[in-house]
Formats: sequence, structure tokens, C-alpha cells
Amino acid sequence: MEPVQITPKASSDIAKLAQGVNRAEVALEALKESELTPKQVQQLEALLKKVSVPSATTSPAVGEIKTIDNHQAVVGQITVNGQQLDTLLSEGSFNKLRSDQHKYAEELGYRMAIRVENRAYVDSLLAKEEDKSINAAEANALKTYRERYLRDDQGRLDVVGRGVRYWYDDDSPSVGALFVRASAESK
Amino acid sequence: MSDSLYEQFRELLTGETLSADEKEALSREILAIIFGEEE
Repeated sequence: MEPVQITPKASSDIAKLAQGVNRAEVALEALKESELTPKQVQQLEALLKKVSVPSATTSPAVGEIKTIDNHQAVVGQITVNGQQLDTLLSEGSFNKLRSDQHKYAEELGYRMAIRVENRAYVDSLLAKEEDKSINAAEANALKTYRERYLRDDQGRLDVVGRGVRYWYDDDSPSVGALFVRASAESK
Repeated sequence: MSDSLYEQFRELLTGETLSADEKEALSREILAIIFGEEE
């Protein structure tokens, strides 16, 4: 086997990793600054395809937004981990004729799908922590989730079981609630 | 590389859609592709 030649750029990145710099930051910097061969671009494109992410940009989480009988709520269908769920956005002041409120409900649906996924992942980590099977990387991930997601002061979506309190920009939490239910349970 | 490709990776690595472990794994794969090809 031929010895591997370490370029100055690679050497710099390795040094950063050794110093504890976030690996994702290093990867992004490498993506931005490296002159990639066509083969590398092809490999990266294949890698992107391999990473299946149910995000708003790659896989619409909200299939439908519609009003329900009392005209004071909208329901949106989202898919999380293959399970179809209904998000029910209910509020006394909801006006079905206001397109901006539909849009807002849709955005909540997108964000909710991500939150539900995160919560499912955290639940699995908590279970591992409880039975002491958690490894160092998972423990670190759990620490991150505890700090960034479970105390959701910044995300402005407070996940409580399957219900979500949310706020408009005027900090009025009483305007409504978003509930998530399995579609089979929803009527 | 194209801005579009970079932006897609940036969204994955800095957003909330991937877990920390998944970001770590993705970063490793990116670095392996980039530096594995270099002479």
C-alpha cells in the first residue's frame, strides 16, 4: 500500500478536529474550499440521496391543510417515520379565509414533524441512559438535545405529549394549540 | 462544487433535521470522500 500524502489542507483540518472543533464545521469548510473532482461530486451527490430527510425542502411533511367543521381549526397531515399523523391547529380566532393563517399552520406542521422525530430519538436515548447501555456519543447527543431542544425557549414550540403550545410573534400563548394524533384516531 | 450541493449539505449539517450522531456520521463520510480522493 502506498503511503498517504497529507496535504496542508487535510493537515489543517485534522488539527482542527484534534482541537475539538465541530466536525460538521470542518466538513462544510472542506466542501466549500476544496476543488472537487467530478468523481467526488458524484459521490457527494450519491451521499445526499442516501440521507433520507423528511424536511420541508426534501419531502413535504404536510400533505393537506383544510378547515374542519367548526371553521375554527385546520388539520394538516404529516408523515413522521412512515406514520401518518394529523396536526390539529385549533384557535378561537382562526379565520379560514386568511391565507396567512393556513401558511402559518403549514409551517407549524413542518416544524412539528421535525420535533416529533427529535423527540422519538431523544426517547430512545433516554431509554438507553436508563438501562445504562448508552455510549459516549449517544450521551453527548442526549446532552445536546437536553440543552437545545427539550428546553424549547428559543424554538417557540413547546412539545407536551402530543400537544404543542405555540406563540405568535406578539408572545400571546393563548391564541391556540396544535395537537398531533395518529390519522386513524382523527376525525 | 455547486452552491446548491453545498447548501444542501449545509442545511443538513446545521439544521435540526438530523440528530447529532447522524451529523457526525455524515461529516465523516464527506471528509472521507474529499480527503480520500486527494493525492
